[in-house]
Amino acid sequence: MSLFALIDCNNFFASCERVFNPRLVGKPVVVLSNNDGCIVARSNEAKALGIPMAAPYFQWRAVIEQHNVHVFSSNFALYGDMSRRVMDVLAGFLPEECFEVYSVDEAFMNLDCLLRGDDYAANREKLLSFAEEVRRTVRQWTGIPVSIGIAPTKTLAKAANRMAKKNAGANSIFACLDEATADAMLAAMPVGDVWGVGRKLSEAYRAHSITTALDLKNAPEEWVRKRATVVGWRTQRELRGVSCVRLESTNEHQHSILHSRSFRHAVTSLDQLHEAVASFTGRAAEKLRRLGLVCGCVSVSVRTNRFSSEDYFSNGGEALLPFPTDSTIDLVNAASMLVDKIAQEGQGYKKASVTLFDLTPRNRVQTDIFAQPDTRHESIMHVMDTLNKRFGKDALHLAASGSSITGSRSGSPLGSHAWQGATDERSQRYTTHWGELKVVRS
Amino acid sequence: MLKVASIHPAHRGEALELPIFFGSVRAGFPTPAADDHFETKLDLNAMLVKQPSATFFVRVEGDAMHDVGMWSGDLLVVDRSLTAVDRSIVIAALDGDLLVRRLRRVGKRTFLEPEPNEGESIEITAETNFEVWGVVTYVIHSLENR
Repeated sequence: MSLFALIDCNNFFASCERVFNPRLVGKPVVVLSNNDGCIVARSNEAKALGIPMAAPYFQWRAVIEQHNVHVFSSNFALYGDMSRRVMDVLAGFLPEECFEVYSVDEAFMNLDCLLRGDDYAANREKLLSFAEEVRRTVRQWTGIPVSIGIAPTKTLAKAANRMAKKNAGANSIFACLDEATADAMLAAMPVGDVWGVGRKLSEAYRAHSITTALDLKNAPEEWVRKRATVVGWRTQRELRGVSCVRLESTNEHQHSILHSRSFRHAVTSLDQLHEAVASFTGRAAEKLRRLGLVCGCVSVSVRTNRFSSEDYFSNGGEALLPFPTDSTIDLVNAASMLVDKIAQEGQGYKKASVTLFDLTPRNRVQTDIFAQPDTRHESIMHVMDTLNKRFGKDALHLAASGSSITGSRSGSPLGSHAWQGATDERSQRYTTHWGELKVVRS
Repeated sequence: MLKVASIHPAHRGEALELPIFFGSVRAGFPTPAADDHFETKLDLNAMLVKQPSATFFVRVEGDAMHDVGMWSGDLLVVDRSLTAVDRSIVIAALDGDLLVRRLRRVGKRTFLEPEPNEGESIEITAETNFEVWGVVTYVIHSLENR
């Protein structure tokens, strides 16, 4: 017997903008991806205008202008800080092992410790008042509205959260504690919206007349196991109220680090692509060192514009390192070899991603007597991190990342490299820069 | 790159932790209580920021609150975890603007008042678009260039 809550920030990026600009409350707001290319967050008012998630901005520009939709570039400094605040407030409610940060705007809680006895329904009032206290506190302390779904499995908690959002009257909280409630909820949910059911799998399900989450719950177990492997079977069991996905509490270390950006202008030269990938790798390596981890595997992927090009090209590859490392030099070398392998001349690249896998805590690494890391790198990386912390990102970087990096800081020439992201409509970094604090009238 | 390895940067910006030791030490005899007497250094952050996840800094513009010692350009520490009561200095979200005022609750009526209060007081009614954004706990006022 177990019980989970999924806490999800409502329209998180748009809500962050509203905290510091209350004028936006009740108005349509969209936030664009970092190259200002796609819509990555929408307020409810923007959703009501029919603007879909991940839509290319240029396709909706007319609608946006016609309805005076407020448009923001991504302000990751602000969203990152607000996310940390929300998670800190949530973490204060339960012991550490009962809390999992699932994404920038979602967290799971294990509520077993709140339950008395085996009857979920008997605990209903207590659970609802706990959830209300959580919701109210996050809203007051950070200004961010959240929705809360409560259910016996993580997959059902996700579905309950979706109900909490759809049901404006439910006070942003929905508890699914008995099978009848679960079935009613799942009957109204397209199978593609179930946690862990991707686009391909949902197409396969629909081809077999499994269109709702309830259909999946009631499908023959053998068939699901054969068609959707053990992963699909696990999802089905979770829909049936059997908890199969445990909480991954936050004191376990991170399993991968991703740095991925779209380019403002298509990158056609392989030299520039090399620079961009080297720079992304540098950022990821910096984070790796900050977390005290080393990495054994690097992966790089690149792609051209999905929306305009007839000859869409994407490719990726990964490289195993001879020994686990946190050195930017080793990682950039590996990433650079990958770029040579995967990239073609003559393409207009729109996006590149670098992911570091196979992460282990630095102090737990076994040394291999045949493959030894270059110990000089350690002191170089230390100097690099210290100087960058003091003088700003990219004060010191590898020559491979380009000779005139400026990053996307305000006041510095934007986009001196074609691959650098644009932040034309970014709001102030209210919580992380002294020079950009919110001004209040007196 | 390798040349850089010989640079040893000074750790400016990181305070040295120099605990003050008050325990008495007898030669060859460790005092078990000595650890209890290590004093931590004074931390202005801990003093001004009681709830880090609920605390925001904002800049004030205008002198309507100068009687409480708040001048244009000052930095305000705002703690959103506190509940505003009568006489709290608050940041009010009023018709989409953020405004700093003294909150007054008189009977069932609510007012936002400037200091000195001969200025214009705003009454909050059912029609007012109003919310307490946060409670101001400290004013940080620089004495340089004034």
